[in-house]
Amino acid sequence: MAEAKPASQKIWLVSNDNATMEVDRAVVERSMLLKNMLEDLGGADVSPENPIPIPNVNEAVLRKVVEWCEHHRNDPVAAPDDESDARKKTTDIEEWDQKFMQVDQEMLFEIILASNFLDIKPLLDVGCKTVANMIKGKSPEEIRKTFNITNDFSAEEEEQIRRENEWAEDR
Amino acid sequence: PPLLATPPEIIDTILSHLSAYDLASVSATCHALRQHALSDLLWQPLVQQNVPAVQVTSTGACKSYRELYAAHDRLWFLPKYKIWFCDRDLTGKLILVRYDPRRSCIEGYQLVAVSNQSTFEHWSADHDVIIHGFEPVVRLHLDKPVLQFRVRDRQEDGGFSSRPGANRFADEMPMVLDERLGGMFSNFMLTKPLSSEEADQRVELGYPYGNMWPSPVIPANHYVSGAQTPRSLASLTPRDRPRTRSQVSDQTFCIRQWMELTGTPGPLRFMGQGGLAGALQALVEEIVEEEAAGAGAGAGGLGVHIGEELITYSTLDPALYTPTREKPWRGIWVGDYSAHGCEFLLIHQPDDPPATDAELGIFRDENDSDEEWEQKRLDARVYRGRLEGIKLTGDPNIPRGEYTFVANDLGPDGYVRTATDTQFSGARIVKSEGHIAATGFLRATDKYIESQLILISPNKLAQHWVGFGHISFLERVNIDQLLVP
Repeated sequence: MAEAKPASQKIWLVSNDNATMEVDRAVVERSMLLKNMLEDLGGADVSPENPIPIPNVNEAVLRKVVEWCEHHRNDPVAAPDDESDARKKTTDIEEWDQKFMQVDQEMLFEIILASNFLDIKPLLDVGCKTVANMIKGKSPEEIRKTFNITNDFSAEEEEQIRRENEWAEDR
Repeated sequence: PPLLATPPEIIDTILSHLSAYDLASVSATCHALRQHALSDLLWQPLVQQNVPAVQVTSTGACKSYRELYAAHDRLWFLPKYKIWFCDRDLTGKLILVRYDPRRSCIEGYQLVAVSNQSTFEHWSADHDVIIHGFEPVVRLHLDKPVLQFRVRDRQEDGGFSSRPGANRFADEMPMVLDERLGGMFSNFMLTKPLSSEEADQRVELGYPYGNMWPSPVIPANHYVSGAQTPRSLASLTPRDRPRTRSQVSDQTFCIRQWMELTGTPGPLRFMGQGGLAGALQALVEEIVEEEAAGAGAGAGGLGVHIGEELITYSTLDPALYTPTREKPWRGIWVGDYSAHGCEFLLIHQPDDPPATDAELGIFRDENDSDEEWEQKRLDARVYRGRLEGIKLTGDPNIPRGEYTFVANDLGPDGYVRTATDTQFSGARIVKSEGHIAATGFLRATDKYIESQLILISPNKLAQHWVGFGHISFLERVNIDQLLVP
């Protein structure tokens, strides 16, 4: 459908707890899922009365995701899989994103799940790096504490794992 | 907990951002995360990123990529930076370290070059000048590894926790070299960088910079303390040794090597340059020092050490030797040093600050086509800035780690002329200074003499030593093709 789609064209989304929000089309299109959907629909049928439903995502999380997309609306689209392993390894996160990710753990994982579902790769990436940074440099016990994980190894298993990981000890 | 409730592919993505050591920690938290942290999908890239020259598609001699990574932990930086050069004697040595995926082996071999071309001709532009022919053949000396680490080597050394005071970063690692000549031993050692204050102090001392390596002429992130004589070996421990992972330099390492006599003296040819007298002298020194130096862990501590040497190696930031559009001469080169033979150099082209066309003094002529104009713009940037020839291996006059020549400006300031003679037709010739010194690189004998650099192509240069009346060639070395076993 060859219709003009100005960046300021409005799109309406509705969260799974029934909150409707008005968002610029250019912002919505940070989500590959929604971008493709809009291209198929032509976007013409979307209105405040007929918003796009976003299942699995509640209002608080959807507002966070939209906030991220707003800030990054003009980012260049990354070439798919252009990034080598070398880049993947760095956990550098730009300052705004770091602040953006200063949320409780529940919300952090909700954002990750939402960005995965909505197919917003750069946001998923920032989320995963944030979690990776929470693991970095920590001992197994500290990791368990951070993520509220229960140690379910037997004493024998613990001893076996200790021996297996001896090479990685820092001494 | 939200982390464990996350879909498996997302957990894998999170873990893909972690180092091997963090993955080891994750594997010890709980069963669910352990499953993820042991995955070969995560460990293969950790191996691969250290061996840029080869594609790792199998675990070789190991059961898993994790086991493979662990087997060579502490050593992966060797194939990662691949080019290593050392401070041994004034000549030094250049080795390439590569990884053989089939045997899961990390090996380092000396790079050697010979020029079979000994012809010379007169320069048509100046008949008093002789051009030395140069056709170097560059290869690895595969008969005799300098470094060799197999997967099983260190699983047999008893483990670290069993010995009191043991430290996996400070302890020497004995190498079992394929071609061990009778009684030759080599121990590998990790190194700890000097603080920048310590390094600055040594630079102040002038050559040989308090045995610091690499020399300050080589652009490096940090420097370490080397030692040239057996006598100074004792002074090296243990303050200079790293004791935690973060203290280990990934840009330098040492090899301690010696010969051991068990009972009867070995044949003379193993006695090193000092011959029998030198060997006996070393033997006496060793007996005196053996106790002071403490037991230097390693293979066979019983015999008497002869000709003991500590050799320090360092590497280069790959950006230094990777040519770019505007710095096309960057690279590892082999040069002709006539009687001294072939020597390896780094052609170093430091970055220049960005400049506009006007600042570079070029303007678009109204007749210039787009293509011509683009070429003009590129040329103004290619023929700009400094070009340094730094020896990675050297000779008794100008040793490893020193300048061999410096062209201060490839641009208008250094421009001499464009060659019109038959041999170099079209090549840009720029002012340069050649570095010379008396044998032994004695201080105050070294000086820079007038020379000219002939920019033949991005893979070939020539240096006209004006006072000596000869021209010698330099050629780029294709390192990558030598890294595939």
